[in-house]
Amino acid sequence: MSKIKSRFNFMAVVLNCAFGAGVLTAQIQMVTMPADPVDPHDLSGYWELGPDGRSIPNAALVASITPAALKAVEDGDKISMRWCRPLGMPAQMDSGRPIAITQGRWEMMMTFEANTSHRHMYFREKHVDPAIWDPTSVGDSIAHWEGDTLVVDTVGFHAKNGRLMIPGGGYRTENSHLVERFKLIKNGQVLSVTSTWSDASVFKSPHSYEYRYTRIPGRYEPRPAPGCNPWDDERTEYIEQTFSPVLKAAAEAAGVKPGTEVPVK
Amino acid sequence: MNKSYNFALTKAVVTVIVGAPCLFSQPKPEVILPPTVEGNWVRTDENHSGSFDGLTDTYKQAELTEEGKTLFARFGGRRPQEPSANDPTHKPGQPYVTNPRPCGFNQGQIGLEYDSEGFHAVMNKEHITFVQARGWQRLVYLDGRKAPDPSNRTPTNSGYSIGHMEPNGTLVIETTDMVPSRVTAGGVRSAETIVKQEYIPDPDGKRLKQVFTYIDPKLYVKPHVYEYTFERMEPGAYALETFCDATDPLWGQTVVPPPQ
Repeated sequence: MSKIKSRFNFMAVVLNCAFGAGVLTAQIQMVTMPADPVDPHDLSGYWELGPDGRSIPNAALVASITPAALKAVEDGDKISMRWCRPLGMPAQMDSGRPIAITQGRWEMMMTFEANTSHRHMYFREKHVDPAIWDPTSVGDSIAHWEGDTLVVDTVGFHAKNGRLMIPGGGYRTENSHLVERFKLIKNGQVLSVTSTWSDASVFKSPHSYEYRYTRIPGRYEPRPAPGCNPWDDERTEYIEQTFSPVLKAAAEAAGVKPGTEVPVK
Repeated sequence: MNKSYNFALTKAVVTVIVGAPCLFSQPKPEVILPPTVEGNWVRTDENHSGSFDGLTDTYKQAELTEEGKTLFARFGGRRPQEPSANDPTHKPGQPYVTNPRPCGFNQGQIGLEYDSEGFHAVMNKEHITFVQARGWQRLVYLDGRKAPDPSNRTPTNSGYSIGHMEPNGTLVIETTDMVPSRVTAGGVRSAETIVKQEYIPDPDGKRLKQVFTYIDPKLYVKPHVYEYTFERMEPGAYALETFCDATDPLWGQTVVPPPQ
């Protein structure tokens, strides 16, 4: 009997050690963290940009970026809207709809409920060889962790595809370099994304701004993007009612009606 | 001795009661399986046909019920303004703008099948996301949720998908609630059709078999089964972009193969 009691006592001590530490940890977590601890290295989730989620200073532009030059790019973006072209960077980071982040083993993928290309942020050390890279509206992105901050480095933008204007002033070119720093704050309920654009042909110094996205709680499920039909005459009239006659003419000259034969080159 | 016994017993009981919740809150170890559907994949042309139609021509044709045949007939072939690569009215090498579905109509919503551009899969704790070079994506929920009541949903090209991973790395998916349409090898689907998909990676993770099984007793005499194979892209592979621009005269161009 004494032997049994002794063994039982020993077991109780082992259990005590095993669970006691867990209890202490859990109690600390209850005070400092929500029920589900947040992994600062997992940005997966659905994120939306609220009306107070933008902190955007004015960009310092080089002298050659005249108001006329800016207007020409702005007009180009309007023509892109009229023709339902995909948004591209940086416009798709503020599309008016939530952003889905799926962080996997080899990349962090960003998908959008808008007419956009996906963003693939590969956990790799090097960009694709520029000699074989076909420039895109979202560029070539590679990512690495610096502490609890995911640093995403993007180059290889297309010169024209996508909307080109950058929040705060200026626009992207094929030589633009974007560095984004993603960090979870407020116990993982807010995602801070600081974007820094460098481009000697546009900015006097690197231009930074910060977006703060709020995590959508619960089981959110993405919805298809709203449709956009460039051949819808009523829509076209609505879109172009604020266009100048010159811009409207330029926008309509850009289109080729379906079924139109094009000459063989 | 009795005092010590009672003290130990009480301590053990209290510890178990208080400690149990924290036992369940411990993170579960990640299961890393070498063969995985995650990554970048390109479809293989197993019978060297050189075209999608050629690849699927050899597939066993679906056995449809009368209702299935009726539904199949309702979805005609290509629209007249959408000439295919095999359209006899086009001469080899002659560009032709078709553009019947300009960008923005359906945002390139992908369905259940992936064409020759391949696909990319990224998985987290909740779901696996499939994308191609064009926009939009397909999500398969892996967190044990049930498909919501059909009355709450609108059918889509990719439907509503739930799935789970088998210990050998096979991903099993069940999809319902798709937009009715024809499917490969003489098949057809309605919003009620259940599509079971199995993504079966080879043990070395370099090849992937994708088996489709369409289950719908109203439409099929027996389940309609066919499969594709994919090869994992080389390390360093990356996704391309299909930039859909309705003003690009080449966007809707039909690619007419030269005479063989």
